[in-house]
Amino acid sequence: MSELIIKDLHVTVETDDGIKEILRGVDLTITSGQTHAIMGPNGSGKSTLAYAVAGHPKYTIASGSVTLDGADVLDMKVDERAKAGLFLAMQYPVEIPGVSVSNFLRSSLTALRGEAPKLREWIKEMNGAMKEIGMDQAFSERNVNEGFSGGEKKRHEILQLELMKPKIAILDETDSGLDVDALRIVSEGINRTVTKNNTGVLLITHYTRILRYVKPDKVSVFVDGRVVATGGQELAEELEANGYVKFSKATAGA
Amino acid sequence: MSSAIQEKEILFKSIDARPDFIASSNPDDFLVPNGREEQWRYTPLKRVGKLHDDAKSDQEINYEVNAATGVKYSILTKSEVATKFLATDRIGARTESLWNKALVIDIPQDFSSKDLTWIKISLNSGVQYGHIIVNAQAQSSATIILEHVGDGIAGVNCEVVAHPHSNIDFITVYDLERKAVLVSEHHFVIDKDAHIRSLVVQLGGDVLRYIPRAKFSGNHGSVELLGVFLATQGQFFENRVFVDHNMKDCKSNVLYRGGAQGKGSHTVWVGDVLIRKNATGTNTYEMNRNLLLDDGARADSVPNLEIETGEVEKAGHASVTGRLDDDQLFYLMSRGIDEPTARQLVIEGFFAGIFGEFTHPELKEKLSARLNAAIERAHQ
Repeated sequence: MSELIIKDLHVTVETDDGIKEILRGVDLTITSGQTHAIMGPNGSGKSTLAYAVAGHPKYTIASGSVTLDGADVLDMKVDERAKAGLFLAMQYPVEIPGVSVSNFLRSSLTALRGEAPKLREWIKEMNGAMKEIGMDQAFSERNVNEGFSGGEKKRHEILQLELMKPKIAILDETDSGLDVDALRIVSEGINRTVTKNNTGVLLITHYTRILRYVKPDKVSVFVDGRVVATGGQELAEELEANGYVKFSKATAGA
Repeated sequence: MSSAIQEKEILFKSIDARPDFIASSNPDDFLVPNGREEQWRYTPLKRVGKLHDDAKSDQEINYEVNAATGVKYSILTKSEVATKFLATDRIGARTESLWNKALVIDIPQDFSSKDLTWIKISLNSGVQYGHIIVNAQAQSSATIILEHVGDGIAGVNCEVVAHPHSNIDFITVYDLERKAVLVSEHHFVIDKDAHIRSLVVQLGGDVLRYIPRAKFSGNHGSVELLGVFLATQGQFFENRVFVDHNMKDCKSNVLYRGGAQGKGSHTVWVGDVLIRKNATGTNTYEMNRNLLLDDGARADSVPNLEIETGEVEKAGHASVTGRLDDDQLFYLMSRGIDEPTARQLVIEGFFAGIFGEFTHPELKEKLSARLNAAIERAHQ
């Protein structure tokens, strides 16, 4: 059983107009085998939360703490966070010219597992995982994310999630830009990860659409750099009906 | 052989008909450069072992050839070779006047083989000059590798003549010791419907200056001039490319990828494509991409394109110099890959495409291994 605990997290970013605070005291706990949906309007800081926890150099931690099973995540380098069991599925996965998917995945798993997977077993494992997510085997020879469609990029992220078996995964708008079939396949991948690998999932989303396929244990509303409400599935339904207006007003008035 | 060489003389006569260039095999036609000339503005003349001035040959040039069965070669003295190589700078002309032994490779008509022809020049400490002639007869097809190793100072010129319908892969590798100096002018002549694909790989040496010059001697020829260079601390690698489109419906593609890392590392790429008035239907593209791996590195990149005719099929040039992308490194590291390995993957990837053009598996493997070793060295 693992726990990612985010406490009073304040994060700033440097802009042309000076330093801007994006996260203003985030409190969240993600637990193994549970899915926690974070919903919020554009620009509320959801992606900043994801990248800051994963350690992107663009974001500065002003104050607060992030721990994974007691270990200080903020003190770790980016690769050490992954080795500790954190995974971030990116909203805009980066293209890496000249590096094949198969070379990339093998390098990653070698780093995470501490030894290179045996070649024959590795090919079997990779092809099996690709089949489950509906990716053609020919993908393994393509360059990482280069020329991938939006849907292909997201499947590739979920493929990594399934192979890397993290303790805690942050999925940043994995549902955006997917058609109905791709959304179903990606959702099935997320559900498999939760049930088979007991991964705790922080599901960041803008729309309730994905929640038809991935049932969250908890739903939090994220507005203006912090969590403003937390509840169950019913909170998502309320958002579907009424939007974020009520929560935005609440913050504006606060 | 002599008939082929006479033919070649005619082909080279006009390789430098441009008014701003002198083309000659006589060193006295060029002043001793002082570094302020356009051609020499980047080259550290203090480090070229007086090749540009008065360095005499005190070493025999050392050619080792491992030829594909059927490819003929001989090592000949000056009186046995009737070359009329017109160099475009003083080092090139001095090399022409000072070499004693030339390597002449003859690829017979209709020759075709999967086997490689491997030429190795091992420099001796001291000064040496050399000259190589590759004559690919009509409809032949071959892959030739010219590899430079060792420690010393050298001027080595080379001419590759592709007769009608021939198809030549010509790979030049500079993997010299840390103090070596090598200056080379390579001429490529492409006849009717012939194709030359040239790749230069610069990985080791103190000062490397490479001047590939391509021209056509028939219509419908095509040439690819590809390059990979990686300079580390203190190394100076220069490439000056010239493609002379002087025939109709010819095609050229120039693509150089370079990297520099460490204090005093400096790369130079000057690309020059000239489309002459009669060269209608020309299709050309030149591109240089550089990766600066830290703050001590410097890359100069100067693409030029001169078009004298209105009837060009396609002509473009580009140059991009950038740094390692933080987002790429972050993506890899967020998957558990440590920073040095992530950097290595991104750098290898940056160069990877260029070897993808070559289909010979043994060659590809060897080139990749050399490059990866150089990338690893750069990290130490």
